[in-house]
Amino acid sequence: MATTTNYSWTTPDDTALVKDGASAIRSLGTAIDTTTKNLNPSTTLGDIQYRSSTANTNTRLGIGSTGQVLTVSGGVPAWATPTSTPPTNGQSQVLTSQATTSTSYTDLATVQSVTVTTGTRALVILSALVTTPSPADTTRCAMSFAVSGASTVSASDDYQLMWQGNNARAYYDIAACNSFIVTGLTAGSNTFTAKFKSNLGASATWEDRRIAVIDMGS
Amino acid sequence: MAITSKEINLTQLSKELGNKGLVADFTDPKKKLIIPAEGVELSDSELKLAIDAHVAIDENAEKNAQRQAILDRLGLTADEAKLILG
Repeated sequence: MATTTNYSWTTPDDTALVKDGASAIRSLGTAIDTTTKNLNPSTTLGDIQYRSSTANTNTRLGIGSTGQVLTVSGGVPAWATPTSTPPTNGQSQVLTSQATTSTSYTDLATVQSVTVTTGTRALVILSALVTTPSPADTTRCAMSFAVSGASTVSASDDYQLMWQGNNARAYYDIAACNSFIVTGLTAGSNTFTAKFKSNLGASATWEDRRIAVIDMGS
Repeated sequence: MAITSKEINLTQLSKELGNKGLVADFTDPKKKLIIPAEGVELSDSELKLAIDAHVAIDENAEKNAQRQAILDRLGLTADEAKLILG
């Protein structure tokens, strides 16, 4: 008896004297039916199938629940509910009103820092209530941050929350906010420290200042 | 670092010290904290001497006087003027 190339279904030889054709056809049909069912075990809407450890035999995988995603478990596909893992983050807030006349970036009286394990990128959000110093100048009050730990980044105007006074009014204060995506960090534990300056050397005051850092991976 | 209850004009004090950057916390008026900014070379004794000699100028005095004169001319209090100006 001859067999087919892929699934080894038995067929009569070309030279065979077929004396029971119905039986031969039934045997072939049964073999095809069994193979087809093994390859397509689906029974229900949404079923999918994947190859099992047995050749020419797939395994049926019923549809998962709403919101589930296809993942791998034990080397085979499986539906699973995704776990929600928020990115690593941290923030620091200092309410006390503190001032500086420094024209280069400096800590204020209360050093303000937040340590976060990051990849090479992080989102940094700065906010504060800023008061410009005196009636007759246009001092720029600037808040930035330095990074230490796994990375070394100096405070700079590239990452600056800045408020400039307006000499048309005696005093000016404003709640200001700015955000930055910092790239080029060295992945690891990074400490972000808020830094402040006043470009004209006049007293700039900061109150309710916050620095928040959110890891953005690599 | 220095702690003082004196009236301090931080901008003025900074200039009196040769434009050296200062950091301050005036939350407690009886214990005003003043420290040199990062990278500023200033000893505690130099800072204390400067504070002792410091006579704070009220930069708002002149403008406040002008405001009061206008209010007096109009016969309004500061609160009434604020109310009108919204």
